[in-house]
Amino acid sequence: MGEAATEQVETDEELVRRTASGDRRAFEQLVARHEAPLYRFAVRSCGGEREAEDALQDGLLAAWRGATTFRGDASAKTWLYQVVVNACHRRHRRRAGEPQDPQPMEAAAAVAAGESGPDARVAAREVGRAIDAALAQLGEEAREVLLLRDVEGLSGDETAAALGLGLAAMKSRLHRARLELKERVEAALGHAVEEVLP
Amino acid sequence: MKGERVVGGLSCGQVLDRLSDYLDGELDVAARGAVEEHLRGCDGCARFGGELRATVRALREHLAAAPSPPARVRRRLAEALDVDPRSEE
Repeated sequence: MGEAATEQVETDEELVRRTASGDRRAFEQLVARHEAPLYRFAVRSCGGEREAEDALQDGLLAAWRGATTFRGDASAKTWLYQVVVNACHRRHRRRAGEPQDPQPMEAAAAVAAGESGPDARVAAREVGRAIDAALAQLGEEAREVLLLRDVEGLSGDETAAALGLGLAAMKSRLHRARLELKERVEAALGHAVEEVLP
Repeated sequence: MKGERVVGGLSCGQVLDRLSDYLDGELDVAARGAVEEHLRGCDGCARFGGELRATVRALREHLAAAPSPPARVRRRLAEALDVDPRSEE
């Protein structure tokens, strides 16, 4: 029997425990398991790949340095989202005084002047551009709750823990964010989504 | 809410408040039944709920395909860990 078949797969929580005791290999294993969804979240949340790389770097270094504080109240996955959410917050705060990215208005204008036609793929592209424009216009809190719950598929409890909220507060924020997303997407498209997608 | 009606024991505003929980399957049987009864009898809420569900689904589908982290992400992290004091403990 090969090594791969006999090797026991460690849980995330075991890897965090080993990370806490200074085991770099365990930390790198943990990162390898989760970096793709964390990066995806950071790209959408921070608004660009370069910013996402920096936020991910900041967050993962914070996780490495803070692994001894992991108590296991939430899962290791949730904890990693938490550190990346916090890193994105810090980057947003740092950028708050900088000139605003013109992308939202440009994206919205592109949607307004966009393609139309019976083809479902054209319609889906149009909706996609409207969603990008709407996400860029949403506030940070609304955007991150939508990304965690509706895109990354975290459970309600995981989303609440990653955002440092109680479950009821997270649900309330999620509902408001969905309503705002709907309103902004419809404003960009000029009609409701259901009329476009089959 | 404009044109508010009471159907199935719930007003349109009460249904709107419960809509996300309903779409996420997080209402208990009785609450779910009341919302569904309202939706069957109220075209406005049924349409609005369908649009909200379609918007969330479109968001999920549109963002499902995402860029993978470039190799430099892991390389940069490894370089940072090389010089981090904690790595030398």
